[in-house]
Amino acid sequence: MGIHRRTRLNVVDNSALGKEADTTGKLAYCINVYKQGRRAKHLPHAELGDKILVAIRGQMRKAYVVGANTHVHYRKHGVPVTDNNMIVLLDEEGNPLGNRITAPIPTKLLANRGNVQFSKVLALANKYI
Amino acid sequence: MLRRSLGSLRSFSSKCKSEPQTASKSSNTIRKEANLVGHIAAFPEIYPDFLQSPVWNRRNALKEELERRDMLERRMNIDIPEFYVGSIVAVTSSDSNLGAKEHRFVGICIRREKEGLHHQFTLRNTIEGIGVEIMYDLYNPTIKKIETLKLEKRLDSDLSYLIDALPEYSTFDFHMEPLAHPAGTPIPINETKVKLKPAPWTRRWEIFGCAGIEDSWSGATPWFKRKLQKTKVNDYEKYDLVAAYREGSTLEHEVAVQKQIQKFENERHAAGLTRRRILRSAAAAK
Amino acid sequence: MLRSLVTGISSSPAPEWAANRLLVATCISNTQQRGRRRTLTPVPWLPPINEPAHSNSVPLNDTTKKLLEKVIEREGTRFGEELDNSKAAITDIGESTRRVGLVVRKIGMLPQWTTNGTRILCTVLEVVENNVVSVTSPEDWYKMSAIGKRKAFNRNGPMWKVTVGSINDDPTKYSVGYRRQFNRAGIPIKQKLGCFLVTEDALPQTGQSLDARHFVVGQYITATGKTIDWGFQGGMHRWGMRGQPTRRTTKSHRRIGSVGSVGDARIWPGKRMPGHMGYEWVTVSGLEVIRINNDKQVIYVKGSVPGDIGETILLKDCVQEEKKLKKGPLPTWIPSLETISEESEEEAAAEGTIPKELLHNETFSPKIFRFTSPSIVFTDADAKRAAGRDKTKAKIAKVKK
Repeated sequence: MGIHRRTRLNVVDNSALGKEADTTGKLAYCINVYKQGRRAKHLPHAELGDKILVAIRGQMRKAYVVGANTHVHYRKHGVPVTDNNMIVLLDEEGNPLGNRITAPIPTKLLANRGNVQFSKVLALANKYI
Repeated sequence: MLRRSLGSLRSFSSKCKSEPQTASKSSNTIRKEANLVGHIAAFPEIYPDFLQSPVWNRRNALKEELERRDMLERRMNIDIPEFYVGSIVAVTSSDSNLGAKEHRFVGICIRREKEGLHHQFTLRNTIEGIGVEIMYDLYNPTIKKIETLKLEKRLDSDLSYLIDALPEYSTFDFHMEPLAHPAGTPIPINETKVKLKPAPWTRRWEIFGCAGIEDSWSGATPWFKRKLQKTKVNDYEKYDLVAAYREGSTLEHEVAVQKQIQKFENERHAAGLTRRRILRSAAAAK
Repeated sequence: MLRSLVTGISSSPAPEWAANRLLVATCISNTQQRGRRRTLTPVPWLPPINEPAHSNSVPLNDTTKKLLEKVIEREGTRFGEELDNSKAAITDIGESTRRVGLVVRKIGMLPQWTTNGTRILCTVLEVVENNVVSVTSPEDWYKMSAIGKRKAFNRNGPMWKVTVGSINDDPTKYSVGYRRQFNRAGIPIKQKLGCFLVTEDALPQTGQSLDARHFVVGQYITATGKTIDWGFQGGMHRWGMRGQPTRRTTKSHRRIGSVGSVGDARIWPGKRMPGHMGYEWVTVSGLEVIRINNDKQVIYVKGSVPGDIGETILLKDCVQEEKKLKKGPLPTWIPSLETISEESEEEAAAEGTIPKELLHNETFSPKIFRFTSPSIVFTDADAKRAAGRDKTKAKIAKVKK
């Protein structure tokens, strides 16, 4: 239960690509999840803080999941659940595409501060939920 | 999960020869005890976590007693106020990722589930246009403070439909001032009927028959309206007496729990440790 | 290998239908008995049990009733020498030592929280009136039963068979043969029995009562029990088969599908098919003991345990190297081992602590959050620790020159 192939996601940074995708209605959708799975021959589901590959306006981009609409049975104490699945786009080198994040970010993601790539994303965030 | 409120269910006076300890007392004795103890009529609504598990297999007197002791200890350390589904609640908790800073969230309580130490409640709010729901374990020790900013009820006991409602119905000010509820007055029922966003919705609200939704039928898509003919709509649930008995609570149990809470309170007050009172009802006159 | 049908009590308690037959059926059959995971129905040619006359069906006048009560009381008390508790102590437990276990009842599951705020789901197990029913030496056990021939002399060495009973019951419900083992030990009749393999240096005494404090908070235990009875289940639920698609198939959606190939011309024995699921003997090892309530004789164990709520579980010390118990009560816990630490007496005098009479006498693991303490508060140091190390860079050892 989570984000898998074909899941549509809203982009919450101020990159041009993200804004176009959200306004035209052709949202980004997940193609691949970069995570170690447990089931053989099955792509694992992406949750808060995972890295995914996303198809946006004909391009493929890597992104971090910053808000997930988790099902009621899988929710954990204190972890915020948003109505939409939200992502932050990354460019080819792994740096965030935009330079500001509009949506509030769960504090749970602060646990990934040690990860160099992720800390760049966290640096852009200004509101924590 | 919709909890059926039975009020005081009549229990029969059966003489259990095989297990005299578990035999239920006659309804007269229970009512007298209830009056002596000062039983709160709305006990299952104010303390849904003190009720028994709806799964009959999981009911065990010793386990429930040990669980209640832990719950009451926690309630002596932190003030868990009275709130219902539909009340606006603020939760201040400590977060290991934030360090010394506290995490505060304000929202409307949309559901309260499970019994005992497992009891959870979910708060919903809209932040910068994005709807956010956070589920909290009521007895989690990282919660520092729970405040009821506005004590009220709604027409339903489960407000999950707010996800598909217009965002104005889920928006609440983070810095809202707490509205004191005058003691002794009944809990106000907020009779707002919520307007839903244009379909498609996350669930089929046109079938659920929620009292708090304004005209869900006309908002449903034609496809779902046609599908209704084939949908198995379970209308029998309101007639299911056994389910009502299982999910509800008996006066006998409520009185027993209330006695235990009072004994616990008196012991702690006598020891001079706290003066906190667990057993309270905002609607009951002082 | 030939096995007799005499079901001597092994480390798995005998099935219900064999309960009353234990000391009665002494015939040894020469028919081959294949291994089975569970035995639910008795063999058809076993003679039916003669039900003992229930006390209510025989009219008793008051004097006879009182006499019966006296007899029952006398049978349930131990006469003769007092139990020799001189050797019981909290000592180091050797590598090859195996202690007795307990026969407990699963009463439910509760969440507990650690001092970090992590939630642990614990199983609550109640130790109800455990007593040692009998202690059999390896030589006697070897002679007595077929299971003894298998288990008495292990690669671990000679093992004694210790039967533990739990939950006192009305003697009039049971047959003379069943009652005899308890009368010999001088203890009340028990509902449930369980056996444990014990080494000679950890032997308890017959009739000794066992306490929940036999286990130490923080140690690891092994729980054995009968799983939940699912009844007759189909291939999908029982074996995890995938079934057939909803559309494009005719009248076949949850069936097992193919049962073999043409070449074999038969179905292989052991083919997974629908059948009875559950109510099997399963062992789960390495569960941590989180909390012990001495007043109510209740053990909180981290994780889940096989079986339904209300069912009997056998608990033993964990045998795995890393999780073995190093120091504990040997052979078992007795009240004289209770130590009243001096520190706690000073604390009781201090203000703000809850007096001991209001709390149960409990032992907690140090990492468990006590509900008597205030809410958990983190510091900035905790936040730094929570961040962890950067795993995108290689971890290079710092070499000192």
